[in-house]
Amino acid sequence: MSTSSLTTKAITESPWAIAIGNYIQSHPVLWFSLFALMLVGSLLKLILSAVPQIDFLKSKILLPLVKKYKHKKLIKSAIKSDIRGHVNKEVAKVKKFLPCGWAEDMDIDWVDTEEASTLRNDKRIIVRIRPLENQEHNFVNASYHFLHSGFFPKMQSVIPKPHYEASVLYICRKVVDGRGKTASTIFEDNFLEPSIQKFQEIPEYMDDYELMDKRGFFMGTFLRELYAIATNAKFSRARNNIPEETTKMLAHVKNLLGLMIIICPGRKRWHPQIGGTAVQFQNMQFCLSHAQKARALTHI
Amino acid sequence: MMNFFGNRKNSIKAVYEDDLEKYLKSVDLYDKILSKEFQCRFCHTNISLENLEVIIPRGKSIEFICNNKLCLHQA
Repeated sequence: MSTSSLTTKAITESPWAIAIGNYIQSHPVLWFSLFALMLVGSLLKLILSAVPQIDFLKSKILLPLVKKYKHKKLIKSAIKSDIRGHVNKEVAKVKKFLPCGWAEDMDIDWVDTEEASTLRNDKRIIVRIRPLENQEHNFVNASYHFLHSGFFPKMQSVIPKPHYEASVLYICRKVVDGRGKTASTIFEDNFLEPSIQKFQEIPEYMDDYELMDKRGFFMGTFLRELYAIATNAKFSRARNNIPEETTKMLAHVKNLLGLMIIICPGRKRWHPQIGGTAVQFQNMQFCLSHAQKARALTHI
Repeated sequence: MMNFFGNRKNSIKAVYEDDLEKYLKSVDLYDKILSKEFQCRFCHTNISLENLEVIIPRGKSIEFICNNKLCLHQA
């Protein structure tokens, strides 16, 4: 007989194990209630993880609580719900316009121990989260790194760095502004300003993005087209020309927007998503040529 | 990654301040950080327990980013 089966037999036949068994058998209602409670708890946990608003509500309850009871597990849970709830609430507003997979619901995986090999093989970065007093900083930091790692998947080294940075900052600003003034100030001081110091084109690009975004051309068209250009050029000599191509494409979209305003001057509201893929955008060249003809006719 | 309801989720890894020492010890980096073996990827300042902000695994090597404003946004 193996050692493990001997050990199991010793445990099951021990007097305290028999006593516990008898107690369970004599109190079936108590154990059934406990089981039902565990089931309801697990279901609630699942629902909490699926609906950002509930996460948001959970953080509203937990945050004042942890200021009184400084229990580490509770603090971590409050920090996680607060960041996740706010980010997912704001990301939900832009998610449907961004390419699939770029900004999915956020989750935070706490790590306290890990194998060195797991750390090296897992490509995800690890962000340090500071105590609750620095929660605004934690929120901005986590939001930025979350969006930064999701944008332009596998093409981050191909996309022109100023456009990559500017587009992440543009969306991140939307997310952070929804949180409040303090978070916005931290974002501007710690992320926006240092990025502008590094890439002086960023303010100009952000103005252009704003202009495109108002008419639904930023997320629906520009980002997708930029991603398509990078994907097609990744392993060809066209890769060296991506910055020039991007500049031309940006000018092209702005030109198109100008023409649309000339053609439909009275139209104040625009559909938020015009064009979904690069193919659709290429089709817009056709629309542009028609628009140019229309403008020529107007001038005549 | 999808959750129970079929919603896709992207997760980031985070280490809480109080767990940092334990975490670094578990991945054999604690002593190296104390002996200032690592520098920030961008500003090349020595990484310490106080200024460590982001850990970036890059296959065989591991990079660190300090809490300097000019470095944080480049992670």
